[in-house]
Amino acid sequence: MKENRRDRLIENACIAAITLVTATVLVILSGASPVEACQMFFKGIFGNLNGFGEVFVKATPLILTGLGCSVAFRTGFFNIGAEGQFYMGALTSTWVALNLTGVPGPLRMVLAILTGFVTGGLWALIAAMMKARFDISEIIVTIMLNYIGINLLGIAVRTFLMDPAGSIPQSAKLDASVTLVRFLKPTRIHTGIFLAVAAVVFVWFLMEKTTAGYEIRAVGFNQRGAACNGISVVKNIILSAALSGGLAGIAGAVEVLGVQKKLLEGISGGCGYTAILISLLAVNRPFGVLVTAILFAALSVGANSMQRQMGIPAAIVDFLIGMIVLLILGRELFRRKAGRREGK
Amino acid sequence: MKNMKKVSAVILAASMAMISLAGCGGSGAAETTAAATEAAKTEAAPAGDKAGETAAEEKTEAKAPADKTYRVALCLSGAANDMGWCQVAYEGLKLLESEYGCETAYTENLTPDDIEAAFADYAANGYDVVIGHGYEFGDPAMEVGDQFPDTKFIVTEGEVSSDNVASYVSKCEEGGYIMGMLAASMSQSGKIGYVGPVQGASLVKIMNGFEDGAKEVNPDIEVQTAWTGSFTDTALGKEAAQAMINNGVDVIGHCANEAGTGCINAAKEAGIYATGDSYDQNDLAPETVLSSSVYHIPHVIELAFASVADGSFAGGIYQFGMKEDAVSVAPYHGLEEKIPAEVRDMLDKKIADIKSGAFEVPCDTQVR
Repeated sequence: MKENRRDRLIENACIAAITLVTATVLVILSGASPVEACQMFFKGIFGNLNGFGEVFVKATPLILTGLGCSVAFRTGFFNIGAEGQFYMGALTSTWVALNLTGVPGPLRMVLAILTGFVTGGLWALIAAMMKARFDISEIIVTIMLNYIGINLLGIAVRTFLMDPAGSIPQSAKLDASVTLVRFLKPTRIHTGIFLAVAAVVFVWFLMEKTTAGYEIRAVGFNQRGAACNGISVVKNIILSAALSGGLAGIAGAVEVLGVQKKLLEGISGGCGYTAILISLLAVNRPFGVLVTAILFAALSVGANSMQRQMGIPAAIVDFLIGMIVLLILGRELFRRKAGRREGK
Repeated sequence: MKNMKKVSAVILAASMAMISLAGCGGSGAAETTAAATEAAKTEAAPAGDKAGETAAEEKTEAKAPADKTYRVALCLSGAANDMGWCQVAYEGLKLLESEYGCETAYTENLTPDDIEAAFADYAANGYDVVIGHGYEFGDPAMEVGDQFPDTKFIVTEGEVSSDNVASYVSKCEEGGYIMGMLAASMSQSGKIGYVGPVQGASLVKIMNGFEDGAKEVNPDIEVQTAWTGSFTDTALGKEAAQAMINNGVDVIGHCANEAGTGCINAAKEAGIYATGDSYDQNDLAPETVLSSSVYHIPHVIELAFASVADGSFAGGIYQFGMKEDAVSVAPYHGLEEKIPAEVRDMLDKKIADIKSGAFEVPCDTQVR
């Protein structure tokens, strides 16, 4: 066990080193000084309050969607649909926040978040049902549902949710009373971060301390074994998928209510996909997700700032993230081979 | 077991090779972007020269005091070398750097969800002026401007204003109006066409200007219009133009940025005339493009910055047109003889009237 942990540490260090070297090469190739780029990177995060706050603004949806993925992955339900679930959550919560004007602001906000949770969950449930009932690959269904969700939002902001006063495809601005409070101005950091942390604690408690969590984990560990011991595989897949989608839906709602204050296209910033990566890196552990998501957010804030100040193509960051994924997948492959070798 | 070790060693080697390959791929991409930027720079040189000329004329009027180095940031929705909308703004930024010694930075390919973050990042890092290039930057500028009162926010084509937020709008409809008059004068069939990209106010007004201009010359003219929904899809632009040509249209205009070059290609293939937009597009099809409506965005950006530099900056929505040299009409090049002298005289007179203020082009931002 101890050896295992050390191995993992060494592997992670190797991945970090390779990434760092590649980053340096890419920065040099784009004609900038790596030292200055590095300075700008950290200045972007710690140089002023705004950058520091922005890390948590970016981390909030990543924590929630990453947490969602981790719950699903632990039952062996490979939910690639956090993006679509995020969009559905954002879409319906905006509708609630804009249209239920009879309900007082703060209550409407809670309702909007709950709606986001429910629709996100339902969106994932479609894939879960198809898997449980007809054994259709949840990977394909969730990916396809992403497209549907993304384009439904596109239709919504051009039709029934479009700001009647504007010509840009986006919804009207939300009332100040329904939005999440920004408690550290001028940064955009909002109370959604507390919700995200609370969700981490909740998921940890559920997975580690309750029977329901135990059953979910058991199904993920060995479906047949779980079934033989009287644990319903179908029930647990559906449960974890719904919770997974629900968390992504909350992320969508929180992004609308806390950051953008209106619905617009591309609102997720691709965080539904990054979430998969985060969950993978955190080995599906709730507190691991929390830390990894914050690190990822810091990476993106620092890199964006570097790009904005020095004109280094931000594509470098996307490239590096892609490379990290490859390295991690390569590691898993290598480990599986090694494991089989030892088994022999 | 030993065998397995070998296998894993091979896999390891393969993955290492893959990684290094991936590394190569990345450097290659970076090189091509660098090369593309280089290419764009050389491509942009003539336009830059032009901007330089107008700047030279302007120099006596507005020269920044040299006692402060201003830090100016530009936010773009597309690539800085897109040969259209974003590139001209980037040239404007470079102009501020060379003429006023500003320290500049820019962000390209900003998605709507990230605009506020970029604005706030620049403001928090002490930039004096942050420019958002396009109407979609309006709302975020208001939002962030509220939090950073010491930074001046300038939105081109915007519809917003506050104490530290100003919108600088080009009267593009003036160019569209002249193009409409020209197209209607040159049409034999009595049918002309116009292709727009996305139904934003700053584009709708150009299309409406075109239609109004055409109707002034020939009240019975039929103006067919289409929206491609894309600034970049040249195939869509071409399709739209071809459909119009099949309907009997014999002059095509556009304000569709890159997508519009597809319209010009369609016109070229069909052997009919076209009008260009944004910059002098005659070189795309010398036998086809009669003239172009040219927008001097670098000049507008310069005017905006000059107001900050001389301390006269105030929130508001400012309009700049032909009178301020922000909009102009490109020369006819080789097609001059094809255009009847009385048409040319009529257009010259109209341009003079617009410049003097004797005629005001209606600015209608409602989709017809």
